[in-house]
Amino acid sequence: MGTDQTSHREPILSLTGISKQFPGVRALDNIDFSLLAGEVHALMGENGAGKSTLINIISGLLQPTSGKICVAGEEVVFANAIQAQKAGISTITQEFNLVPQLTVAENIFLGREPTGRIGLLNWREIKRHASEVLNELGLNVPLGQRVSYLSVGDRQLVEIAKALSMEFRIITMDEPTAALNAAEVARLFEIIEKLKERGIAVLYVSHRLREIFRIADRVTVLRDGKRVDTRRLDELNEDEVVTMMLGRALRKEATIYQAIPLSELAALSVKDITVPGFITNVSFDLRVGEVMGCAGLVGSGRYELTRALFGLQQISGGEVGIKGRPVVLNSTSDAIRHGIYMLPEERKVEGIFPDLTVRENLLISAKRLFRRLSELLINPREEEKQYQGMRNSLDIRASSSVQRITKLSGGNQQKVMLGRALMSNSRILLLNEPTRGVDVGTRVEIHAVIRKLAQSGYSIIVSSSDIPELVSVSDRCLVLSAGRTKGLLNRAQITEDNITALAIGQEITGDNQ
Amino acid sequence: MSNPPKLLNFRAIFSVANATRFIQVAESLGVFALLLIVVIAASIIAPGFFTYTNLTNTLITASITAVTGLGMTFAIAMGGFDLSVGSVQVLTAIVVGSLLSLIDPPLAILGALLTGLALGLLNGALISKLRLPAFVVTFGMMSIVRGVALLVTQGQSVMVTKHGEFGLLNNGKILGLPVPFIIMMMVLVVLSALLKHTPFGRHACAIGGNREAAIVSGISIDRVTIAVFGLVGVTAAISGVMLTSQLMIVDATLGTGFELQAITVSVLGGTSLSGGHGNLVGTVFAALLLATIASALNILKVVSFYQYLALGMLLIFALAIDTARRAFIAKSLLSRA
Repeated sequence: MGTDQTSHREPILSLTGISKQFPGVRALDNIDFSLLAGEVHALMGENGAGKSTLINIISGLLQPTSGKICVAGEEVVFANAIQAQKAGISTITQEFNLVPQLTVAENIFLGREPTGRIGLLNWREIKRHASEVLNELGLNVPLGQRVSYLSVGDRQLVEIAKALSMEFRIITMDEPTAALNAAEVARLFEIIEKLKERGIAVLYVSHRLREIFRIADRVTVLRDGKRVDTRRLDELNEDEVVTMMLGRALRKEATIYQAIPLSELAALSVKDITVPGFITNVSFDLRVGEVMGCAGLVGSGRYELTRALFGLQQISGGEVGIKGRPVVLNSTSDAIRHGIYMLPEERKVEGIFPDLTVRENLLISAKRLFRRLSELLINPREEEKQYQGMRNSLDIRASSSVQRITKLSGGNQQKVMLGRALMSNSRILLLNEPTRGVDVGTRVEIHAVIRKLAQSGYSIIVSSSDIPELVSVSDRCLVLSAGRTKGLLNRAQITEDNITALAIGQEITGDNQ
Repeated sequence: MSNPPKLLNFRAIFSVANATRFIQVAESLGVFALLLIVVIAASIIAPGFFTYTNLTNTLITASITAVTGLGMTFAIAMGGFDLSVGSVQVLTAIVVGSLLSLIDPPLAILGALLTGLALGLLNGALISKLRLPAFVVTFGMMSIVRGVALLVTQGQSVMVTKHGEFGLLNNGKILGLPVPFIIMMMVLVVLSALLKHTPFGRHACAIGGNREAAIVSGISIDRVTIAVFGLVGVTAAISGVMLTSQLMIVDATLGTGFELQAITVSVLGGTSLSGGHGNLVGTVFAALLLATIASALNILKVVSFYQYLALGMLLIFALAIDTARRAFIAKSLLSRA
């Protein structure tokens, strides 16, 4: 059991012996957990360790098979999410519970609008209270702004404002920084500090070790549905947390970059391309066998660059060439015909087909040949062979090829997405956020796959908001800022500091290509 | 600890996963079970229902609905639907009826099928090229095509006078089975092969399941959309030809409410309006169910107006079941998140 020196304080939320049994799986096994007022408590574990199940139990979406939940010392049973909210628990997930058509103020008071004597909305009261909460958070958005016009970071803060105005005592945040840029992350952390001062307990779920060390006081690590330990973070280092999560030390080989001289051949040459409103005159050559990182904050044009090269966004000026010949990319089928394939940033939105099986998802972009009439029909045996091949080479953990893809863990879904790109017969891969929402173990595996693909002649752009990822996989790294090339770092120059400096628009010391 | 005796593991049997599987099986079997109950009930309370002639007629009616229902299932799997099938059915019925006085039956039938194909492709082209919702385009086409049918006939009936053998498409028997039933089975086999065993069918389901992902996967949304609506047009035209051979006299007022029937049999058969998959066999069972109910009500001399009530209630009932099923699956998926 853990060395828990903070336990003399009265916990605001405590779970005792919580278990959750699903058919065939014990998702949680006898978990003890306590959350203290005014602490930030990190919850970590690989995908499938039981984090989501635990969060869902705390927020009332799932009911435990056994065990006890106490809020402020009193035992509670949540039949649904509303009861958990009434007990003062707010859950901020990646999918926000805001109505995009309503304004900031309307959203904050949705469902509990103060009304006047005859039942009309009391706008003055709404505005006064809303601006009070927003001021406290240091959030500078107009109260009358429609939420659909806000950035992801601002929406998240509106959610937090809503939680504050309802006087919640416990706020659960599930991967809150997944879609934020560096400035927004810094602002979020300032706000979390303020929440702490007010005595609010924050349960913080994230895969990002560095963040955990920056913001959290204690960490609880889950593995295979069991609690490994709860520890104070100031007694731990990153490697120790990873070892707790994996049950072994992380294999380091994959993250060590092996320098090979860059090929002179350009697989994809981009000359002065412009995407109206997003990108101005960006040029680079992607060499054969190269992994080129692409960094940039939200709004830098990084997101639009790979989409434009995949035919999803109109290129208005400049030239894209493949093996020296100019190509037109008006649609995704154009791009695939020229051997370009893109892994989308949001797996759930643009990646998986929830109604299709793992195999169908893997092979949806596979190139088909019609040499004989019988090949008009899909050959299941041939498909199974292709699936098994990809399953072995990427180590996809699925119980069968005909199971629905939604039953796989995030990491395995991501491997299927990567496999789909490989099955498309394309030699130029544009990988957006290849390890978003993926556990540390799978992350290392995916990075190793990316390096191996490059060695076997694929040319790859890795576009990512995860700077350590760019440092560990890139041969060169393009940094965009405000739609323009801010720098193209060579291997020796690629460091987290250099990438960050360029991304926020500063110059770096030393020579810059 | 002593080992407990290993009895049946009830918890495992009634688990969520098994329940999900049960629901998936029940999706196909549910409407079949309902059909069985209704057939037995009709045989008992409606004397004359369980006779050779009546059963044959019921089977023919069901087959005509099912053919278009099968096409509709394809469109719903792709996340769309076609409200113009009733008008297309009546226009193609008129086309084949009129052409029979000019040319041989095979060519007349071909003319009707090409008309249906052209109208379907037009639907698909308007939806994909003008980026309009299927609802708007096919709702508009429903009125336009009906208007064309009224104009070309000038409101008069079209009677099949030459080529009496055309009626064999309705009365004929192959291996003791009515020809309309055989036609319907052939459409079922072809569409099943298309839906489950070709890239085209898989792409249609992919578009219905996640349109954004389909675009990113390099699927040509426009091409698949146009092809699927073309297919629906052809099935509506086949129903039109079958209708003419059944009645031998057609006019432009027929086939109203046919689109509602086609959508109802799809949904009742287990195809979700939210798209992503299609249950073709279920569609056939649902068409049989609908025809059985109509036949029983006729025999019981219930005023035919009540059939509209029954149809609407069945559609709402089927949608309610579908919504409940989706909610259940969402809940069980949550457990794996």
